[in-house]
Amino acid sequence: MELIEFKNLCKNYGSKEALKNINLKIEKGKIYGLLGPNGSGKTTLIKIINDLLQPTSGEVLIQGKEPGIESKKIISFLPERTYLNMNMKVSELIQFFKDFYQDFDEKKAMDLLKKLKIKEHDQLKNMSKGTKEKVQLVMVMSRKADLYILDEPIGGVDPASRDYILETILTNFNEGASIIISTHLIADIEKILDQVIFINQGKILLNEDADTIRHKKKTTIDKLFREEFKC
Amino acid sequence: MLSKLLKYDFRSLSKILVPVYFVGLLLAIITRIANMLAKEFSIFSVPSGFISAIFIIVLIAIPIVTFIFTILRFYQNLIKDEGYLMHTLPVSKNHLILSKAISSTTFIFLSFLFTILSLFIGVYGLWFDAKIFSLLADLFQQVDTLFLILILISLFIGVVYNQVMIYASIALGQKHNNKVMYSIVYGIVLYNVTQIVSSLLLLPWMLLDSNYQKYISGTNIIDFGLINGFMFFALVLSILFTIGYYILTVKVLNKKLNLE
Repeated sequence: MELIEFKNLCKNYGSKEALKNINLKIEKGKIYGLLGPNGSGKTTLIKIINDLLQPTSGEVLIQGKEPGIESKKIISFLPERTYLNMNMKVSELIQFFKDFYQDFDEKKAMDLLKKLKIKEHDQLKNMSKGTKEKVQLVMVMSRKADLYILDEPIGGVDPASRDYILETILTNFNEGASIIISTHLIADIEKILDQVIFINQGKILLNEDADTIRHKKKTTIDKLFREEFKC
Repeated sequence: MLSKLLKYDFRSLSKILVPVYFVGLLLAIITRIANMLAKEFSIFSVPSGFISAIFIIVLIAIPIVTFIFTILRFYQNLIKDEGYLMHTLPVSKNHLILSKAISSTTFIFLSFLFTILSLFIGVYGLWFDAKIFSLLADLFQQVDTLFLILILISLFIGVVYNQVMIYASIALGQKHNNKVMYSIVYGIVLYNVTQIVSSLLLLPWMLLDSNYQKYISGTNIIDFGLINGFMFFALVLSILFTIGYYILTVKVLNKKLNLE
């Protein structure tokens, strides 16, 4: 069984069609790049998987079931914004994740935070935007999830931080799990991708193995993206 | 999972509200001391009056601040950015909302308690005269017991009803792009729906009940049987509306969540 299956999925915002008849399967054990320009429908698709938006028609099935409590147990989601309660300390945040996610590895979180020189009693509200993003990433990657969904994890951070983020993702995800990374910064992440999905104006334009693109088409994913989405 | 949600909701509300309540208590003590000094030394009469005025304003503000803060907490935690975390926790929407309703109601009653306590301290000082309690007991004895019980239950249901009605307004409002404006619009709509439906249901009872007719014609001054009957009816309506708006909130956040 596929990890996720989209069946004729459509999402409208009023009269605007954000997703048009999406049919897509996400398999186990692969790193997917969900690539598209701003406003292409990436975040809408991700929100529907995470039960933050409801489709207008069609359905999404996660291990055969609609998004709900069971799917939330196996998906670790990093949104494109800061979702933390700023009145918390780091130690309270760790306890929060431990309380609600059975697959949360406290030791791993503590080790990762230590490397970032973040202390347990540090207040979230006193951290810079970049540090908050890193803390959030540490929390998400410290879960032993079946699927990690990372929405723009490297958007808005400096190149040095991008390397840290990519390394944290690659060295910490649960073995056998899948990752969906949504971004428009392709050059930075293309080397880690197994499967590439191009999305634009709510339609899937391409869903192909990354090696096939590299070898058969003899181009990089970044070049292909630039050609496909040339203005 | 409800107990874990409650733990974080109580903790989050405590961080802001408990210091506010202690400010109320501290101000009560200061007011009491200032008033005692003013009795002895006339030079203190002006500052004492000023402190008393601030004290009264703070007393009135405590329950209002609590109510506003509990609503803000609901909005920020479930509809704004924090909602991305809360709605992706493996917990039911029912538990998410129930936790907010329980913690908010508890804090609103705590605010009443602290306001009354601060008032007593401000007026009588830290060592109350036992006579106050016997006076209160005498007063309660003169009032019908059922009436008192109904008043207390109505107060409780009234607090819960107001919270849940606002939750339902916010749940309906978040479906639109301008979430705040639509939440206010739905709030006005739901308030009026409750008022109109309640009036329509109470009207036939008022017109047909002979006791009520006697009451308004002035032949029967205080008839607790009549008042209790009216209160019981209003209470049942409030409970039904609370349940209705609660179910509406759960359903909308389950099927029509629209986090942007």
